[in-house]
Amino acid sequence: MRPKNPEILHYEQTSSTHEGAILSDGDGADFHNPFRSAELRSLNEAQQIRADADARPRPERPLTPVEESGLRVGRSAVNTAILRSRTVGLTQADFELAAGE
Amino acid sequence: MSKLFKKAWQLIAGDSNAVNLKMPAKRPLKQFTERELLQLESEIGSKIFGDVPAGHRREFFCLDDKTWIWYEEWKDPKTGKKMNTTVRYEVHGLRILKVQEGARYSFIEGPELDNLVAATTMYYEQVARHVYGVDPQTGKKLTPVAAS
Repeated sequence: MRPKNPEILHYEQTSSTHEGAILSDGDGADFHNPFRSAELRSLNEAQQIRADADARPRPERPLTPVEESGLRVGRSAVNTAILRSRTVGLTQADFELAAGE
Repeated sequence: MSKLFKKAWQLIAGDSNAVNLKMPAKRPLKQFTERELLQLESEIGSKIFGDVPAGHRREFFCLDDKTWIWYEEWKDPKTGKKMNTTVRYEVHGLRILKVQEGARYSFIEGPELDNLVAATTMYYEQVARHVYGVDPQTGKKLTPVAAS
Protein backbone atom coordinates (compact mmCIF):
# COMPACT_ATOMS: atom_id res chain seq x y z
CA MET A 1 0.00 0.00 0.00
CA ARG A 2 1.50 3.29 -1.01
CA PRO A 3 1.84 6.08 1.55
CA LYS A 4 -0.86 8.70 1.44
CA ASN A 5 -0.04 12.34 1.00
CA PRO A 6 -0.70 14.68 3.94
CA GLU A 7 -3.58 16.40 2.20
CA ILE A 8 -5.50 13.15 1.90
CA LEU A 9 -4.75 12.15 5.45
CA HIS A 10 -5.98 15.52 6.64
CA TYR A 11 -9.10 15.06 4.54
CA GLU A 12 -9.79 11.61 5.93
CA GLN A 13 -9.37 12.76 9.48
CA THR A 14 -11.48 15.88 9.23
CA SER A 15 -13.87 15.73 6.36
CA SER A 16 -17.21 14.09 6.49
CA THR A 17 -19.65 16.82 5.71
CA HIS A 18 -17.67 19.63 4.14
CA GLU A 19 -18.86 20.61 0.72
CA GLY A 20 -16.14 20.91 -1.85
CA ALA A 21 -14.44 19.48 -4.85
CA ILE A 22 -13.55 15.85 -5.26
CA LEU A 23 -10.04 15.38 -4.03
CA SER A 24 -7.39 13.95 -6.24
CA ASP A 25 -4.54 11.79 -5.03
CA GLY A 26 -1.98 14.16 -6.49
CA ASP A 27 -1.08 12.19 -9.59
CA GLY A 28 -4.17 13.08 -11.54
CA ALA A 29 -6.41 10.16 -10.65
CA ASP A 30 -9.54 10.71 -8.61
CA PHE A 31 -9.03 9.72 -5.04
CA HIS A 32 -11.63 7.14 -4.30
CA ASN A 33 -13.28 7.43 -0.94
CA PRO A 34 -16.61 5.62 -0.73
CA PHE A 35 -17.78 7.74 2.17
CA ARG A 36 -16.97 10.89 0.28
CA SER A 37 -18.67 9.55 -2.85
CA ALA A 38 -21.83 8.79 -0.92
CA GLU A 39 -21.72 12.19 0.64
CA LEU A 40 -21.34 13.98 -2.65
CA ARG A 41 -24.12 11.94 -4.21
CA SER A 42 -26.34 12.77 -1.27
CA LEU A 43 -25.52 16.45 -1.47
CA ASN A 44 -26.33 16.46 -5.18
CA GLU A 45 -29.65 14.78 -4.53
CA ALA A 46 -30.45 17.23 -1.75
CA GLN A 47 -29.67 20.15 -4.04
CA GLN A 48 -31.86 18.65 -6.75
CA ILE A 49 -34.79 18.28 -4.35
CA ARG A 50 -34.40 21.91 -3.30
CA ALA A 51 -34.15 23.05 -6.93
CA ASP A 52 -37.28 21.09 -7.88
CA ALA A 53 -39.17 22.57 -4.94
CA ASP A 54 -38.08 26.11 -5.83
CA ALA A 55 -39.15 25.55 -9.43
CA ARG A 56 -42.73 24.66 -8.50
CA PRO A 57 -45.06 27.36 -9.83
CA ARG A 58 -46.70 29.74 -7.34
CA PRO A 59 -49.57 32.09 -8.16
CA GLU A 60 -48.95 35.84 -8.02
CA ARG A 61 -52.07 36.41 -5.93
CA PRO A 62 -52.22 35.81 -2.19
CA LEU A 63 -52.71 32.15 -1.35
CA THR A 64 -56.01 30.86 -0.07
CA PRO A 65 -55.97 29.20 3.37
CA VAL A 66 -56.19 25.79 1.71
CA GLU A 67 -53.24 26.59 -0.56
CA GLU A 68 -51.29 27.97 2.37
CA SER A 69 -51.85 24.67 4.20
CA GLY A 70 -50.87 22.68 1.11
CA LEU A 71 -47.69 24.71 0.84
CA ARG A 72 -46.82 23.91 4.45
CA VAL A 73 -47.39 20.18 3.97
CA GLY A 74 -45.20 20.28 0.86
CA ARG A 75 -42.51 22.29 2.61
CA SER A 76 -42.26 19.77 5.45
CA ALA A 77 -41.90 16.97 2.89
CA VAL A 78 -39.19 18.82 0.98
CA ASN A 79 -37.26 19.68 4.14
CA THR A 80 -37.47 16.10 5.40
CA ALA A 81 -36.41 14.65 2.04
CA ILE A 82 -33.41 16.98 1.95
CA LEU A 83 -32.26 15.94 5.41
CA ARG A 84 -32.64 12.29 4.50
CA SER A 85 -30.86 12.52 1.19
CA ARG A 86 -27.96 14.32 2.85
CA THR A 87 -27.65 11.44 5.32
CA VAL A 88 -28.08 8.37 3.09
CA GLY A 89 -24.69 6.74 2.64
CA LEU A 90 -23.13 8.41 5.65
CA THR A 91 -22.01 6.38 8.63
CA GLN A 92 -22.76 6.94 12.27
CA ALA A 93 -19.15 8.04 12.68
CA ASP A 94 -19.55 10.63 9.90
CA PHE A 95 -22.73 11.76 11.54
CA GLU A 96 -21.21 12.20 14.98
CA LEU A 97 -18.24 14.02 13.54
CA ALA A 98 -20.62 16.40 11.78
CA ALA A 99 -22.56 16.97 15.00
CA GLY A 100 -19.39 17.96 16.77
CA GLU A 101 -18.44 20.62 14.21
CA MET B 1 -49.20 -1.93 -8.39
CA SER B 2 -47.53 1.40 -9.12
CA LYS B 3 -43.80 1.82 -8.60
CA LEU B 4 -44.39 4.38 -5.86
CA PHE B 5 -46.83 2.17 -4.04
CA LYS B 6 -44.48 -0.80 -4.33
CA LYS B 7 -41.66 1.27 -2.85
CA ALA B 8 -43.91 2.39 -0.01
CA TRP B 9 -44.99 -1.16 0.67
CA GLN B 10 -41.41 -2.46 0.74
CA LEU B 11 -40.48 0.28 3.15
CA ILE B 12 -43.39 -0.56 5.42
CA ALA B 13 -43.29 -4.32 5.28
CA GLY B 14 -39.58 -4.74 4.74
CA ASP B 15 -38.00 -7.81 3.27
CA SER B 16 -36.84 -11.09 4.71
CA ASN B 17 -33.17 -10.08 4.64
CA ALA B 18 -33.64 -6.89 6.56
CA VAL B 19 -32.36 -6.49 10.09
CA ASN B 20 -34.71 -5.20 12.71
CA LEU B 21 -33.37 -1.72 13.17
CA LYS B 22 -33.35 0.14 16.43
CA MET B 23 -31.46 3.35 17.05
CA PRO B 24 -28.09 3.26 15.33
CA ALA B 25 -25.85 3.01 18.35
CA LYS B 26 -22.67 0.92 18.00
CA ARG B 27 -22.58 0.90 14.26
CA PRO B 28 -19.96 3.51 13.53
CA LEU B 29 -18.90 2.25 10.11
CA LYS B 30 -22.15 1.04 8.63
CA GLN B 31 -23.67 3.40 6.13
CA PHE B 32 -27.27 4.51 6.55
CA THR B 33 -29.63 3.32 3.86
CA GLU B 34 -32.73 5.20 2.82
CA ARG B 35 -34.85 2.43 4.25
CA GLU B 36 -33.17 2.56 7.66
CA LEU B 37 -33.60 6.30 7.85
CA LEU B 38 -37.24 5.98 6.89
CA GLN B 39 -37.77 3.42 9.62
CA LEU B 40 -36.19 5.72 12.17
CA GLU B 41 -38.38 8.56 10.96
CA SER B 42 -41.47 6.40 11.03
CA GLU B 43 -40.87 5.43 14.65
CA ILE B 44 -41.34 9.09 15.43
CA GLY B 45 -44.14 9.52 12.89
CA SER B 46 -46.20 6.67 14.30
CA LYS B 47 -46.40 8.42 17.69
CA ILE B 48 -47.38 11.84 16.42
CA PHE B 49 -51.08 11.02 16.47
CA GLY B 50 -51.01 9.76 20.03
CA ASP B 51 -51.03 6.25 21.40
CA VAL B 52 -51.51 3.46 18.91
CA PRO B 53 -54.52 1.33 19.98
CA ALA B 54 -53.69 -2.12 21.31
CA GLY B 55 -53.31 -4.61 18.49
CA HIS B 56 -52.72 -1.90 15.93
CA ARG B 57 -49.57 -1.08 14.07
CA ARG B 58 -49.19 2.36 12.58
CA GLU B 59 -46.68 3.96 10.28
CA PHE B 60 -46.61 7.57 9.22
CA PHE B 61 -43.74 8.88 7.20
CA CYS B 62 -42.57 11.15 4.44
CA LEU B 63 -41.87 8.92 1.45
CA ASP B 64 -40.28 11.62 -0.70
CA ASP B 65 -40.47 15.35 -1.30
CA LYS B 66 -44.07 15.10 -2.53
CA THR B 67 -45.61 12.17 -0.65
CA TRP B 68 -46.73 11.32 2.87
CA ILE B 69 -47.83 7.80 3.79
CA TRP B 70 -50.18 6.68 6.52
CA TYR B 71 -50.39 2.93 7.13
CA GLU B 72 -52.47 1.21 9.77
CA GLU B 73 -52.69 -2.53 10.45
CA TRP B 74 -54.97 -4.29 12.91
CA LYS B 75 -56.81 -7.51 13.55
CA ASP B 76 -60.57 -7.55 13.07
CA PRO B 77 -61.95 -8.44 16.53
CA LYS B 78 -64.82 -10.45 15.06
CA THR B 79 -63.10 -12.45 12.36
CA GLY B 80 -59.52 -12.32 13.62
CA LYS B 81 -58.53 -11.39 10.10
CA LYS B 82 -55.60 -9.08 9.56
CA MET B 83 -56.75 -5.77 8.14
CA ASN B 84 -54.76 -2.85 6.86
CA THR B 85 -55.21 0.41 5.14
CA THR B 86 -52.80 2.73 3.39
CA VAL B 87 -53.45 6.36 2.65
CA ARG B 88 -51.16 8.40 0.48
CA TYR B 89 -51.13 12.17 0.65
CA GLU B 90 -49.59 13.67 -2.46
CA VAL B 91 -48.53 17.27 -2.93
CA HIS B 92 -50.00 18.54 -6.18
CA GLY B 93 -49.00 22.14 -6.62
CA LEU B 94 -50.55 23.81 -3.60
CA ARG B 95 -53.23 21.18 -2.98
CA ILE B 96 -53.01 17.86 -1.19
CA LEU B 97 -54.49 14.85 -2.93
CA LYS B 98 -55.59 11.98 -0.74
CA VAL B 99 -55.26 8.62 -2.44
CA GLN B 100 -56.91 5.57 -0.90
CA GLU B 101 -57.29 2.00 -1.94
CA GLY B 102 -59.99 1.34 -4.48
CA ALA B 103 -58.97 4.26 -6.66
CA ARG B 104 -60.49 6.84 -4.35
CA TYR B 105 -59.00 10.29 -4.85
CA SER B 106 -59.91 13.59 -3.24
CA PHE B 107 -58.26 16.91 -2.53
CA ILE B 108 -58.46 17.42 1.19
CA GLU B 109 -59.46 20.51 3.12
CA GLY B 110 -61.02 21.48 6.44
CA PRO B 111 -60.07 19.65 9.64
CA GLU B 112 -58.33 16.81 7.78
CA LEU B 113 -56.00 19.24 6.06
CA ASP B 114 -55.43 21.13 9.32
CA ASN B 115 -54.52 17.88 11.06
CA LEU B 116 -52.16 16.91 8.27
CA VAL B 117 -50.43 20.30 8.44
CA ALA B 118 -49.97 19.86 12.19
CA ALA B 119 -48.75 16.29 11.83
CA THR B 120 -46.28 16.98 9.03
CA THR B 121 -44.93 20.09 10.75
CA MET B 122 -44.44 18.15 13.97
CA TYR B 123 -42.91 15.24 12.04
CA TYR B 124 -40.31 17.44 10.37
CA GLU B 125 -39.45 19.20 13.63
CA GLN B 126 -39.05 15.98 15.60
CA VAL B 127 -37.27 14.05 12.87
CA ALA B 128 -34.86 16.93 12.27
CA ARG B 129 -33.95 17.00 15.96
CA HIS B 130 -34.05 13.33 16.90
CA VAL B 131 -32.98 11.52 13.75
CA TYR B 132 -30.80 14.03 11.90
CA GLY B 133 -29.60 16.10 14.86
CA VAL B 134 -30.28 19.47 13.29
CA ASP B 135 -32.26 22.48 14.38
CA PRO B 136 -35.45 22.41 12.28
CA GLN B 137 -35.58 26.20 12.02
CA THR B 138 -31.99 26.97 11.11
CA GLY B 139 -30.83 23.62 9.68
CA LYS B 140 -27.70 23.89 11.81
CA LYS B 141 -26.31 20.85 13.57
CA LEU B 142 -27.37 20.53 17.17
CA THR B 143 -24.50 20.18 19.57
CA PRO B 144 -24.92 17.15 21.81
CA VAL B 145 -25.49 18.16 25.42
CA ALA B 146 -22.79 16.74 27.67
CA ALA B 147 -24.07 14.57 30.49
CA SER B 148 -23.63 16.25 33.84
